[in-house]
Amino acid sequence: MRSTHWDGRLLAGMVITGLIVVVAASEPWLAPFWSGAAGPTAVGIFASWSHPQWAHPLGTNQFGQDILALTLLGLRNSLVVGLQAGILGTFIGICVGFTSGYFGGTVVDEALRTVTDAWLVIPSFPLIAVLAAFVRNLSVTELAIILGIFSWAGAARAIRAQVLMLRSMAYVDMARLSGAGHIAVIGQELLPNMYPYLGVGLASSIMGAIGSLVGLSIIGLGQNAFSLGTLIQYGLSEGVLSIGFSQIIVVPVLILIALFVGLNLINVGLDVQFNPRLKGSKSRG
Amino acid sequence: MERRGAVPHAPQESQLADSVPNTALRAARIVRRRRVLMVVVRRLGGYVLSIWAAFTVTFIFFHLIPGSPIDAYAQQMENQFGQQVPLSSQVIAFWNKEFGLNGNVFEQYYRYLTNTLLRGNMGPSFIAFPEPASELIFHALPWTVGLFGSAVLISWIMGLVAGLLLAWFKDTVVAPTLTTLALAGAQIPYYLAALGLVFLFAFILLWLPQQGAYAASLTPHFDFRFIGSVLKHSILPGCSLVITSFLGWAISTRALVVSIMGEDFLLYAEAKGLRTGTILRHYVLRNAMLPQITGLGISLGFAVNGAYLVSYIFNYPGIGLLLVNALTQLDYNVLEGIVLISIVTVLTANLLLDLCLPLVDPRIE
Repeated sequence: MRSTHWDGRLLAGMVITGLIVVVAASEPWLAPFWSGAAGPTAVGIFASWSHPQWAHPLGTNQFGQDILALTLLGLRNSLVVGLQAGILGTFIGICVGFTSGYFGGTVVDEALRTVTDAWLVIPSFPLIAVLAAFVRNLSVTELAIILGIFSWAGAARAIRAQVLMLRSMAYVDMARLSGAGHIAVIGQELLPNMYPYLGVGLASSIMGAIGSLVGLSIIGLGQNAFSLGTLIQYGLSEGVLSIGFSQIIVVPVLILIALFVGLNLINVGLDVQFNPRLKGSKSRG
Repeated sequence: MERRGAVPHAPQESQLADSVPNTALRAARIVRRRRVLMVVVRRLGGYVLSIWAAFTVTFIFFHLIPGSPIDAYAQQMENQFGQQVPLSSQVIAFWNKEFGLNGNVFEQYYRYLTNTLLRGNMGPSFIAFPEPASELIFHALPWTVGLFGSAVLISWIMGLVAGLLLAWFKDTVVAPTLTTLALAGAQIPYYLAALGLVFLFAFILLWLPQQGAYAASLTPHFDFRFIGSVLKHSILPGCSLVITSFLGWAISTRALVVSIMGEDFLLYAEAKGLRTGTILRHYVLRNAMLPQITGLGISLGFAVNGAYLVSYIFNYPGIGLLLVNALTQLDYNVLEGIVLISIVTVLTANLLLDLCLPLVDPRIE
């Protein structure tokens, strides 16, 4: 019954996230409206520190760059890095979680679970920051890879639990009895039932990666990826809150909050929509 | 009431104890005690092992970074002053020795383990040379632990109460809406909350100070003015942690309470005619609290780690600010020290939790 009825939170999350993604994806066409053909990062095109007006809805900064165009660029970069890192993190999480869950109770599972648990305990932010500080000129892709490597453990743990549950179901035994190998069982029987959870894993990996990326930019690291955090860092160092240009910080913060709310609503909604254990709990209560 | 009810049974129990041979009871107690001791020893062994693993991984991590930190620092100096600083190989060799970076990897590893693990000596700080890195860290630690430790506690208590209410009133119109709002906001990073709060309360409303741990005009002193200033300065950074993490606690508490609410013993308690408040406090909350205590322990361990950026945004003299300063100045030993202390606090919190939980939860042997 509930599979035909979409969970409101899932819908709301998809609408919020979808809007942000569409705006970010159309940055190459949108930004030139305000920044001109030279691109958002070109310096000295407009007067510096001009207040919001028709030509510059968010004003310009010290270097005469259009703040709205910069914000769009930062949003796009944040999402691109977040998506790359999220996909990498989810991929590692799938590999580890599936192997661990499929061989649940064996030495392989034990070893992988120990590594996963240890990875969850490690304070990842200082380590990423140390890497970014010592390795000069990290490229955007390298940054995404580092963020991805640090954001798989949560997904792996969730996927392992789910695989353990699915594995004990009768239809999986059936497939195994009819001669399907490990790969076939994982690919044809388990994976299709895991898609919602892969979505949950992806959304949380992306949230983790974007959270770390923006955090890094706020303390001035990983400058090659011009993210929303870079804008916030610029705003903090220029003290824009006290000189009446608070939009440089406030707009990125609001966008990021909306993004985190949207992604988290997708997470929660996917769980409610597809988790068989939660089904019907509403009618019972 | 329950206690009074238990008194009449006491003589029976002692009678029972008398009837069972004394030696058998004592033997059972000794076996039990030995088993508890075994568990404690095994946990402690695991703890020591994971501390060693963490130190080793940190060592490997810091050595995998391309280039030596001395070279990186020399390069940064050159960039800063826009010219080639003639740092001769002699000078670099001297500093390498001073920072324990001479010799092959195994010598370095041995020195590192004996120094950091056994003596708690993390070597001198680069920037504040020759002040030991551990000194800097232990100066910052009380601020971090005091502020974020109490913030975690406050958000835990608030979340427990809010979750209880959300679950109890889940059939009303308001509660599901609030639950959805809590779900939506629970994953917002602390630093975004911090930026929002700074903007609102320190710049628009001008109610609270925007940075520091106490007013700049005061010197640390144990008097009301200083303590008041410290409290006032801790409101915004503390709230940025409380605001988002209390939502998380509320959601998990709500889920636990909803699952308890179907239990028969609650129906029985209601049928007995107990008041709602009594049921909530003694029957629902006590059952929901145990898993949450586990969570609290883990979060307290992470309190040192959770809020580096909040500490930086508010210029609060905790571990976070030290981390950012050490990062911008490539202060190798301080960075290593912060990573180590972060891991050690999490592991220690886990150990204490493992050892203490059986005292609270009678279901765990």
